[in-house]
Amino acid sequence: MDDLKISRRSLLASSGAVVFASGFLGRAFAASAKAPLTFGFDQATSWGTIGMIGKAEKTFEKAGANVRIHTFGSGTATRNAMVAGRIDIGVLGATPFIFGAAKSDLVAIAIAMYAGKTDAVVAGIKTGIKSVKDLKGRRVASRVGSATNYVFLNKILPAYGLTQSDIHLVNTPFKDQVAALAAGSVDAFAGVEPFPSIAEVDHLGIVLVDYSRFDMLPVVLAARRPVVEREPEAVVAFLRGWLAAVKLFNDDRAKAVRVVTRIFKGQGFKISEKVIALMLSKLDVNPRYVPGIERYFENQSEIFIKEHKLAAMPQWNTLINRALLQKAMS
Amino acid sequence: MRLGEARSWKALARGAAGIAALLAIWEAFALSGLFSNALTPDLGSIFATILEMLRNGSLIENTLYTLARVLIGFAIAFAIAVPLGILMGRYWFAERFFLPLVSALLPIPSVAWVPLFVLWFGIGNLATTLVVIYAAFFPLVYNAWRGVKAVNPLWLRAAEAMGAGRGAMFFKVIWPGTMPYIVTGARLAVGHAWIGVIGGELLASPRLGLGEVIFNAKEYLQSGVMITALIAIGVLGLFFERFVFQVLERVTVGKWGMVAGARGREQRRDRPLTACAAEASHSAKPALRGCGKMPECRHSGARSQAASPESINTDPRIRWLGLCSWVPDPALTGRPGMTGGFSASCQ
Repeated sequence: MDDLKISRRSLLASSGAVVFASGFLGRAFAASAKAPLTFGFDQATSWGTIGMIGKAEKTFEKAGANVRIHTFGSGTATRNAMVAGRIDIGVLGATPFIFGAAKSDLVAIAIAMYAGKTDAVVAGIKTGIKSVKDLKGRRVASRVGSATNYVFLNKILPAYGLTQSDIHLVNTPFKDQVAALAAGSVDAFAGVEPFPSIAEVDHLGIVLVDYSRFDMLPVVLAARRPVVEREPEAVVAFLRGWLAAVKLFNDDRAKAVRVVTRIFKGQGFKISEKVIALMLSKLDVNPRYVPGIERYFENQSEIFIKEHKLAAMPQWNTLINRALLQKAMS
Repeated sequence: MRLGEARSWKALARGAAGIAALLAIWEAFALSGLFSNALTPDLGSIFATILEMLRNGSLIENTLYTLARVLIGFAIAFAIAVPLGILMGRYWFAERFFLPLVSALLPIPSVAWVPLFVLWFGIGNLATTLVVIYAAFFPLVYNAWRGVKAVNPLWLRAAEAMGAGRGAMFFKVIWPGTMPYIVTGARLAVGHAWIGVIGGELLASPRLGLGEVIFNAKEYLQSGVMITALIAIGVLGLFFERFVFQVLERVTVGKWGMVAGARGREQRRDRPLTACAAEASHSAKPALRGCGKMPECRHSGARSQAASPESINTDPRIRWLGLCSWVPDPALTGRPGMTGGFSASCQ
């Protein structure tokens, strides 16, 4: 039996080698197996509407796509999961998408929606704030890193003669903004539907301004480049399922309202069908890229380069894929 | 080169080798391509980020804000927790009153309080500092309490036998006896304070701070910035350990001989007998061996104000050392608070 003795050192070395090797082999197997596409979206806001409908009505399965769906609390969280390689396709605001494309391997495969009307700056009803100008020196909740925050800081505040340093920005997830306003932790928030509507309906806040005057707020359907290159047919099948959900949203709004209301209520929101109907009426769901979308991304990237958040301008003409959407629509 | 210097260079080299190995593993991991470079930047990018953040002052500014919250929170926690812990250790009614409260609150993570603190006190510095106070409070109170309970009853009896008053009892016996625990509690408390402050800065959103830096950088995929902030926290932790706690330990419990492993070149020419007893009371053989070998334990004339002939002769742990005997000492007779004139002669 003495021959079978294993020293502690050799046991540690061999177990380390096994763990290291299994990491590589595991990844190799995972890559080679025909795994489903993973799709992620933010289920806490209106920007996840089409994903919610697709999931509830199983439009992806009906379109022949093999998709596993994951939901997140924000677009930045979805983007981070994509960069980590855990999610293949995601619904992202323009700002998280820009960082994902510039610093990792994300590409746009369609536009999920144009959401300018869904975002708003809301002030607490007891704060006495009547205009964006009055936000000077006040605490404003916003989700740092989101497109909503970007437009608020770079377009709305300057339009009223303010800069970021004039306010105390409080990094707050969208879903917590109404509670923060109600508790008096913040005086206002820059948020996305349904939260401005909830604040108004519950008489907690008033909408100072919505974003439609300042930005079209494209919400991007993004995918990881290796997935697009390795499995274009699977991505096209996914897009067909997405387009089916878009069709349902546009053709049967009552059903869409019921589906989305059920999902929001399932998350613990006290929200009526009336508020959801109002929220959905603000969405411009059109998967096509508007002309000049590259220029839109370039403008935003230039600001981030100036702020030293991006090192260089991404090649936007290579980061927007039109072929897959065309194929899915044909 | 003197032996001591050679040893310290060796220790430095060992520490540097550990850090170098960690850096090499990180670099290999970053360059392996297992994860996106946006998530695992290489050392060059991290170094460039550190330089940039030092150059533009953001690293220093945010570090100072976080450090201030940690220090203020820790100081307040210390001022409340240590007296409370000592009170609990000394008086049974205080123990019975506070212990259930401490035991119930101890397992609740400080970060779990942040949302409530934000609702009660609003966002910003106050809520964040309160989280730090909460985080630092329990290790301090718990260790102070246990420290007082762990003071060798032998010393207390001996001091009483020699007529030590309340003040002498506290400052000469209880406080030194509790000090190793308090230092340990302070070490843990600072660690907990860092956890609390980063969580607090995330959720209570003060304007500046390393926690804010980390979580804002995450939103922009600035992994280099996040790692830089983590490095700053690590460097501060190292600073606290090497230049605050080790020094504090050396000039207090090390000097008094209350810890076996405390480094102190000035190690105790006039090492009080309590030192031997303290080490013996832990009943750990290495400590006993260490004590037995210490020349200062053996030299004649080592004096104790907290031992008695009975204790020397009856305590098996001290007898086991086989070092000390008890002789009358006229020099001690008539000192304030002393009823007997004895010295421990430890040959």
